[in-house]
Amino acid sequence: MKIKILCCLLVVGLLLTGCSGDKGAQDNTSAQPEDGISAEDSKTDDEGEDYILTFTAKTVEGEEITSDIFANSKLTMMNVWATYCNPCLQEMPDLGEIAASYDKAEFQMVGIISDVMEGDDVEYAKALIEHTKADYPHLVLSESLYFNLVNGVDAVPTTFFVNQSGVVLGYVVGAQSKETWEEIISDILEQNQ
Amino acid sequence: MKRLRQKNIRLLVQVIYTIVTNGYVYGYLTGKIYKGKLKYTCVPGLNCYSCPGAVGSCPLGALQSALNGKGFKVPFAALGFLFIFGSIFGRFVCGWLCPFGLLQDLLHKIPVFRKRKQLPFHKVLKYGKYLVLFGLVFVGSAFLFTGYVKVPAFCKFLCPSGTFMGAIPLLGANEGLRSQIGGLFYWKLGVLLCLVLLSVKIYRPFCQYLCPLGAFYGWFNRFSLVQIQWNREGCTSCMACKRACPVNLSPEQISVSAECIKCGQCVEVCPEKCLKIRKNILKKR
Amino acid sequence: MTFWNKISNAFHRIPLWLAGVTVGVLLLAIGIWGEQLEDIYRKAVMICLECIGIG
Repeated sequence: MKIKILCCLLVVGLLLTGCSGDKGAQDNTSAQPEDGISAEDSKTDDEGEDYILTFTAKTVEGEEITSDIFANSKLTMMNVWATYCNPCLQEMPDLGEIAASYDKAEFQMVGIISDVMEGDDVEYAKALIEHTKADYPHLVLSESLYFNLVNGVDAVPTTFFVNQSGVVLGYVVGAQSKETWEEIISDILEQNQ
Repeated sequence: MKRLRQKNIRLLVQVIYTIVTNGYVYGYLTGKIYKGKLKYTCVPGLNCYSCPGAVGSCPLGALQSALNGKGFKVPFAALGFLFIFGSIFGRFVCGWLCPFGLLQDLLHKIPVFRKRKQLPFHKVLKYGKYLVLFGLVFVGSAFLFTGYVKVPAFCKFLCPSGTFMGAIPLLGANEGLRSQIGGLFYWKLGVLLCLVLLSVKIYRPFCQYLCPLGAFYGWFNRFSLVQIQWNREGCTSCMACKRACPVNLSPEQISVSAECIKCGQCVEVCPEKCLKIRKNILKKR
Repeated sequence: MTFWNKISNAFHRIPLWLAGVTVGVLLLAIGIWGEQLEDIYRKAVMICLECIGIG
């Protein structure tokens, strides 16, 4: 009987340490909008606090980009992908086409490569970008990008929508068809006239 | 204080191990996965990283992800973990340290159907796990392109442990992901359901016929540190061990056969106490 | 005993499980040196949905 009680206590103890054992990598969730959005609905909670994204990062070409770019366009779509992820790569040609079909002042597309850090070899990523004809800027992961955005992302591809003031309007997890993306984009643009 | 029976000890170890390796409660509550430093290391048994509770990486997942890299890379790190676990434990991992093994053990206890230890044609079907190891884990992950890049073929197409402990809890806790479910998920769900149903009648069908990790660790069974020693002189050939053995091994095969999961059922039933779980004693070869 | 016989005898006294663990540690060390642990970690914390059978 005593052993059984001891075991129960052990199990409970382990469960609790399981919660706090993680060294804070998860505590940055304050950086994420809590609600996931489906492919159709892209509005966030009105009561929720607006999350303003700031960052500095370099593109695969070495150019430095900061969150100032959000001001250049009514809507920015940030697509987080990885070089090992087929669904990401399979939707990128569509994203390239969508990026080309909008005027930059209205809508712009930015890619974020989640598995290439600053200083890593970018040749493989560049080859994939060329192969998929994803002709828009792609950012290499920087510290600010990681802590302010990518840390809360569990799966790729995940896509964020940001307005002119840098407010993250919502996010979509998973690859979608070209039609779905175009619908979402035009919905958001209409709602945020 | 009643002395705990050996098979209860094993159940306890399996449960505690599952809780420790997949007990990140915060993950289950929020539908997010653990991203801490522990995921740099692999645990001995199957442990899909997509489980919101998982705190360590799966050795098979690590092996396949290294093989998925550009060109052909030898997966040194993953093989390192596998050699270390295999050399110390052999298939003791299967018997004591694998959550999916625990699930099948529990399912087999459900009192319906007449229980059988093995499928018909067991002598041939037991090689199925080597087919999965070479075909899916090695060849599939190293050479199969399903798009622009390679994929972990065993994880993607087969692993029921990943479906049960990873995909299902993740989808349960994370609404946004549900829109992504497609035909592949239904295939894997079907595989899982078949194995779940089969486990009620047949003992551990996944472990005996499909698990590539069990196939790999099986190669280490003969010389691993953890052994079940058989005192040949004291044996009266009563075969009580074989009857108790869930995979039907005779005394010469116990602990050295690639099928033995070192669960220790044989140890308990031997009337002459010939079988004991022991460290591999230092022997001159 | 010749030098090589001595080596051979010493080698035969090492239990196989210990040799296996040593090989494992060496393989792991090579992997760490080749930054393979980073790859394991990265794929374990940023899930490719296709790899787990969803999407």
